[in-house]
Amino acid sequence: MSFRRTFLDPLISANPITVQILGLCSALAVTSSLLPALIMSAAVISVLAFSNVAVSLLRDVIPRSVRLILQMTLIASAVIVVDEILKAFAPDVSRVLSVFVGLIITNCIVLSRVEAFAMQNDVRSSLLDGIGNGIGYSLILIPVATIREIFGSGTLLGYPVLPLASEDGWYTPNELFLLAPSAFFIIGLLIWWIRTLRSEQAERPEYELHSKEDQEPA
Amino acid sequence: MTEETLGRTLLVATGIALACALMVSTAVYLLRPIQLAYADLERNRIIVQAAGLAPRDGELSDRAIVTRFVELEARLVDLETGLFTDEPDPQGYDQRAAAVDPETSVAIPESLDIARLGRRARYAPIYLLETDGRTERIVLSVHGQGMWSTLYGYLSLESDLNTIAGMVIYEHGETAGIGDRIQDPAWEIQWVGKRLYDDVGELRFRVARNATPPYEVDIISGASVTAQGVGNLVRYWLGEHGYGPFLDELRASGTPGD
Repeated sequence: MSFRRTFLDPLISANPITVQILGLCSALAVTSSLLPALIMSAAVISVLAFSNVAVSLLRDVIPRSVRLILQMTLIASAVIVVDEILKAFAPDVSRVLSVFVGLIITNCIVLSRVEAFAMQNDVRSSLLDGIGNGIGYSLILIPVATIREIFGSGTLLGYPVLPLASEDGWYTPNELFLLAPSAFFIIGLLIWWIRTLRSEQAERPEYELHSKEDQEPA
Repeated sequence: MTEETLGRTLLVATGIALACALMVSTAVYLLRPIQLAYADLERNRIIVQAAGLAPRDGELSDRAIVTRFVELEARLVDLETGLFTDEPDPQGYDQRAAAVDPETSVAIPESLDIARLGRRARYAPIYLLETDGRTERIVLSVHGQGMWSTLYGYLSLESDLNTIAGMVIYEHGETAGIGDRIQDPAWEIQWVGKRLYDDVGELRFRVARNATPPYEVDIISGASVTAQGVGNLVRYWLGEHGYGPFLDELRASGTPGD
């Protein structure tokens, strides 16, 4: 695979959230407003880049029998460092993100890229793959957070966008957008939209109807 | 892939673990001072608010907190003598740690322990707001038992040492939505301007049902135990076992100008 494909594929055609359906938990939790989503994106990109590079560098040294736990050690260390940096330089956002930064450790995107990609590939492609998947994650997080903050609070990055009814405007915030299920709906709609445009992403049905199968076997 | 032996597996695992440990501890070591400075900033924000140097609505920027906080003079009071002390250093004095250390704390006699603290530190931090050498306001650090938890706050007094300029509880573990209404600005504003002592110098201030001016603050219905806890801790800290000797000392020396 070319470096270009390695970097570009995870953005849409192999996007970790909409195609691989990974990392949904944090995508629901941190998208109620845009600023935490941006910080979370940056955190995930750095962790993915670091752990992919570290694992790729060590891929010939890591004993197969304990590879998962060593990968987790590297990922966990990277996450702790990122968490400490956030606590030092963005304490307010760090409080909003609370445990979700720590939970990047268990984010399936990170472990899946490390195990499935960095263990087999050279450092440069692993770096690109890590950054690419991180950006793919952000490409979903950011629109979801933007929609949720605008309709849930009438603001964007804390600045008023829709005049609120409570402040003599006309918009009454829809609090459903601040709750986790709204992220499910928005991500669901996004997946639908992407798969309509790129029908090759749609999964084959697990079972064909009998009559249809008789006529044209899958 | 080289051959996998037990020795090599252990070696690689230990090596990676050590390298990770080194990375994490370096990061923590380098970043801790910044994190502590932010924690101080949050506490200073509350002190600045209690001193009445911050607008009631709206957040102050970090820089505004710092510039206003340095206007305040931080001192330690020896509660036994009622005098200022420079030993230990007011910067970095930890009242909570001192309150549980037998070396630096005293047991509160049961009859006086209306804040239900058990022990308190010998030294207490206070903050003076001075303009042209005259004390305008004085911020006292106070704490006491609420319903479920210890309430920590700052009580600020006007220069007459008899009028409340503000009361802020900044930390508690009370029930969300009920006890935490002690942090409701509508309740906090009630405290402003309340009197503490009557003409003969008796402490009359309290939190009570159907409060009557000028000495009483209304209880919070549904959260009466917590609200009463705030009243009790204020009465304790203004009393003879709290800042009483210190306030007497200030009145006698006439330091806070009037």
